[in-house]
Amino acid sequence: MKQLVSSMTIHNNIYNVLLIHGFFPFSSNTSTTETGSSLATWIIALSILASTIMSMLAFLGISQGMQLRIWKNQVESKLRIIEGYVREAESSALELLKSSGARNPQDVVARVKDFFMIGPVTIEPIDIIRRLESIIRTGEVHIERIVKDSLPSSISEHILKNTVTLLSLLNALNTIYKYLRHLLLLGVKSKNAMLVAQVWMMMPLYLRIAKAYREAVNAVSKGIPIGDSAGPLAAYKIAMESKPLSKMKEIVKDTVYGEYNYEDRRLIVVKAKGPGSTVGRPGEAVEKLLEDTTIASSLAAIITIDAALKFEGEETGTIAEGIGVAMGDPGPEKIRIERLASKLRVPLYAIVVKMSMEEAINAITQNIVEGVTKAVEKAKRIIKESTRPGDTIILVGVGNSIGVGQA
Amino acid sequence: MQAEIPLIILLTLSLYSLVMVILTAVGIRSQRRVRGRERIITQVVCENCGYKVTRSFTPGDYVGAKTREKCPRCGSPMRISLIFVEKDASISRYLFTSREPGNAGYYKSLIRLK
Ligand SMILES: [Zn+2]
Repeated sequence: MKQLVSSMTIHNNIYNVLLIHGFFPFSSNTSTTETGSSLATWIIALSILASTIMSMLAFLGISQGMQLRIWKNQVESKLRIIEGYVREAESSALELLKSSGARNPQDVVARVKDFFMIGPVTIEPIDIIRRLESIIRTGEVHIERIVKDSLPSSISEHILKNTVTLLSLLNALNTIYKYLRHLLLLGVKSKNAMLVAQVWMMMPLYLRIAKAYREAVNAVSKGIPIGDSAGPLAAYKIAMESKPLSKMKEIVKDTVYGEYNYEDRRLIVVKAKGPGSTVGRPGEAVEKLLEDTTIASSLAAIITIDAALKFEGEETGTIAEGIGVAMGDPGPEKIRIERLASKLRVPLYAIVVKMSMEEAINAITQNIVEGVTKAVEKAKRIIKESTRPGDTIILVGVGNSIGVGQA
Repeated sequence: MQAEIPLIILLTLSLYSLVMVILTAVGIRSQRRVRGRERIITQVVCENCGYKVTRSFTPGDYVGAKTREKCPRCGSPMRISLIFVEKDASISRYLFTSREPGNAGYYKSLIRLK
């Protein structure tokens, strides 16, 4: 009450002042010499008018509609940016296809751009891993075949793989764009201000993800290693620093292994086949290696090295060790190693190199490379501490092997 | 007197748009500088003596590839051992750590010298 009274008196005072000095715009006795003061009068008058209108609008509930419009406009402007990214990715994919001599690049891009996979039924858990694996692998092989059929047969494998990855980046960007557009239009059509507000609030995060994908397009089209290549890079490094017993060879699709002698132990290094962009099938590779009884009987440890998402505030390239399988796959590959380890009673050691989501899919940075060196040292220490000479150790460099070949 | 009102509004609007134009221009420029400053490095190592050479990335490079370069020390074939984006590639880091005059790092270094 007190506040109201005081505000009223202030208002009265303003009006009095305006009237006394003859500043009020509608009073006729203003002299032309007071141009500066009359400007001030006009500004005050207009602002009083504007605030009156605003308060009336708020009272009538129109301001919420205006807020919705503001949110909508801001979301739309961000969506246009993402749309630009989609177009950029599309033109780089077309360019890459054309430069490798594809027959019908437009058709390939159009097919992969809207490609989707439907996840398995989850209310019936029996066999879910096998069903999931079947869907993932069919999708993988299908896209690869679409691209392969379009390219000349002489094309090298890594260009094929990089093109497939580039197209899946386009697919991801397109999906983000379409999903956000859907939410926005749904919110506007159903006049659901809260839905639009949610999209508006989440927009910076989605924009960050879209930006990361856009940068990844650049790295992948040039064949530069990405942050996720930390695992294969560590595998390459440890292989180079040990005495080779055999050359690296393909064991299952897109996955290679080599045998090395490290401190009188038999070290088997597994990684995705480079330098094309692929994560390979590390789980299946380990399974196949352990079919060999000489390996299975002397196995003392399985070590996995992978890139892992850091928490905000953690430094990129720091490493951590733990127990389990360090692998970011949806499940089918990881579970194979877990099952084998529990069956053979072999410890699972995990080493991770920390990085952000953006860093994981962008060109590998110096910090991550330093992290890889530390991870290799850590792996060597684990081997020396927890195994004896004569033992067999399987070391898996998990991740995308783009730009990382094998010795 | 009535001519004054549109003038002040026009002035405000033009000042606002000028500020926006400047901000946008600065934004675009700094973005360009970020992309321009990113340098991808390829490290090549001698297979015989381990001598290391760094150069900029060329398309077709990958870790593990044998290159046509010969070791400057012993003439043996060389192999790519690393590819990475150089540290301090971002504009903000550049502004705050660069020792070039005009950047924060320059003044910091002056203070430290005292
Ligand atoms: Zn040399």
